[in-house]
Amino acid sequence: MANASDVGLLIGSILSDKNQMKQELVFQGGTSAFGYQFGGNIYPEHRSSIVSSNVISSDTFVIGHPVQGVMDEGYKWVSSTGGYDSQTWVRVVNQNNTFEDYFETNRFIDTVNSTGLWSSTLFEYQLDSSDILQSKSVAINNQIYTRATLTVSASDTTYLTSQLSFNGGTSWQTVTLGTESIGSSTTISGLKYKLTCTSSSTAIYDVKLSYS
Amino acid sequence: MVLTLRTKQLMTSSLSTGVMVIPTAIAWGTGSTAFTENSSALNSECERNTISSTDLQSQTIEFTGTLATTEAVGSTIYEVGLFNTASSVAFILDTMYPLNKTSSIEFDTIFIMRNK
Repeated sequence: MANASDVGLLIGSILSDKNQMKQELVFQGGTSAFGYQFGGNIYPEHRSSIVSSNVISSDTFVIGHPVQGVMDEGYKWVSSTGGYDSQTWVRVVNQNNTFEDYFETNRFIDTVNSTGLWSSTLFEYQLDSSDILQSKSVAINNQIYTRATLTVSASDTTYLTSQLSFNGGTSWQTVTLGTESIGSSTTISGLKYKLTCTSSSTAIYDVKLSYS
Repeated sequence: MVLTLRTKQLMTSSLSTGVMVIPTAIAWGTGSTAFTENSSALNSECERNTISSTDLQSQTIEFTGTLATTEAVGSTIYEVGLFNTASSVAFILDTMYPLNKTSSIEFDTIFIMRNK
């Protein structure tokens, strides 16, 4: 077994070798090569999957359909983009039960109930005083969600009132940003969030909702 | 919900080769077994259609496909996937609470990906 003296001699020997190597490199006119490594992450993620159910009524004509594609049955012709009578999001599932919206699209904005301005170039949602940003269902999978944490990245969150709905928008409860909330009225109708600006203008950059 | 390992490998290799296999189709299936990162197909695929629209915005891209009224009638849809058919690549595989497919309903399916 090596004792302290042996260890000391060993370290001294290593240092001596190191100094000798440095001197030899100088004498040989050699230059030291330094390698740098720069790190950068590619972080692709699957954010959300949405399935919407487009219901066709009994009088819509559908080409190729065994029932609704039969002529002389009184079916109506409809436009290619409006060929269904109602469209409902029936499933919205998110990676790791965490919804995130960076506002690069307005896919999740409830444009009927929101009063601010979505910027398709700045990728943000702009709220003036009294404006509202309300989402569509951001999580819906025939499950009851009872807990959720809403986080917002914005130019200023001081004057934002935050609300969550655990029942698809039937009722709302005020929540604290970044703090887990327990749903007071929960159904399988999905989670929605609502942000109301109470004072000066605010730009919303990113909304994150973790739930279970 | 799984973004497959194959997708990440393709994105990485594209930085060297300059070639990226891109999604071309969305498929629906009736299997309910959860996927892992190494999964490469739906459990029980019943219908596959070409992607109908793609929306690219900065770091986010959305792929949309439609399961028409006449397709998969009578099936119970448990799973969906995003694929390149020619290269047999699965990009995203997802299970969800089942949906009954009838001839009065079409299902639009949207996959949203982002490079963070």
